[in-house]
Amino acid sequence: MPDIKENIKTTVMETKIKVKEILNKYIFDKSIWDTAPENPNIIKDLKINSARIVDIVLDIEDQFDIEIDDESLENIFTLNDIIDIIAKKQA
Amino acid sequence: MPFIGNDIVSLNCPENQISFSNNAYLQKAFTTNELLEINSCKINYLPQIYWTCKESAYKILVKKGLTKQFSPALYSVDLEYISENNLSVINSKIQYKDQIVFAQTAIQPNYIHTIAADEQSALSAIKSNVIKYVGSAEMYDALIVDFAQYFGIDATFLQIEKDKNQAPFLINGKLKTRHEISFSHDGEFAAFVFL
Repeated sequence: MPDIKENIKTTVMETKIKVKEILNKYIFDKSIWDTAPENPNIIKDLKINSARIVDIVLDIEDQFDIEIDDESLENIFTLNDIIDIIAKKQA
Repeated sequence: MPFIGNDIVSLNCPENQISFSNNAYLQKAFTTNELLEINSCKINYLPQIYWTCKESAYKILVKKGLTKQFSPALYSVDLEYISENNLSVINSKIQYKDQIVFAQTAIQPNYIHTIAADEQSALSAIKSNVIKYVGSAEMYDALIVDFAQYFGIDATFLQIEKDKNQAPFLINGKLKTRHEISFSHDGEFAAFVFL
């Protein structure tokens, strides 16, 4: 029988990889990941322009087939915030 | 003391051109009324004008501790009516929940720049400058030089710090006074304001 915890862990890892790929499209200096913290702040640590946040949300909605409402967007600061919101919307 | 903010959008930045002409982007960033105005095509660069108004207001609300992340569609911009012959400066009111912010937008050939304050009377007192963006340190230095020149004080006493919300403010170490400032940069441009 498959280990449920292991499956959840794998799904989170896959989500993280996909989200990082999306974020990477809007990062000017890709080497910024080398010095970024484990859970980087999208604007402060990854130096993504605030105007690109809407582009990122649109990409995430497309990739994960979810809708991120305006109020939820106000609570997205970090990479993990995006992963959490995807998990909640897909639950 | 009133809070101030500002935002600049480069009209030369390819990413902005793509985003502000993408219908899905517009639907996500703007309110129904704003979309109606954008679609009526009465004013050029209306998405960029709305955007700078919203982000300027957001910077003020961060300072007031009322929000931490920018969600543009939660800001509703009401542009003051202007004739089509007078498009160099646009006044507007921005609403976020129960908060009102007042703004003034300058439309230049290469950029759109908005200054904002939470008190309408403060708008005319705001000093602003737009420079070529080299880096954050140079942008901070340029504000200090402008501030020192305008108020006739020694720049060595001036220091830029950040509050608990990461919003910048200026300290005059000699007089022990705190001053309202705001920074923005996009593409090749940097902008700052002080009061």
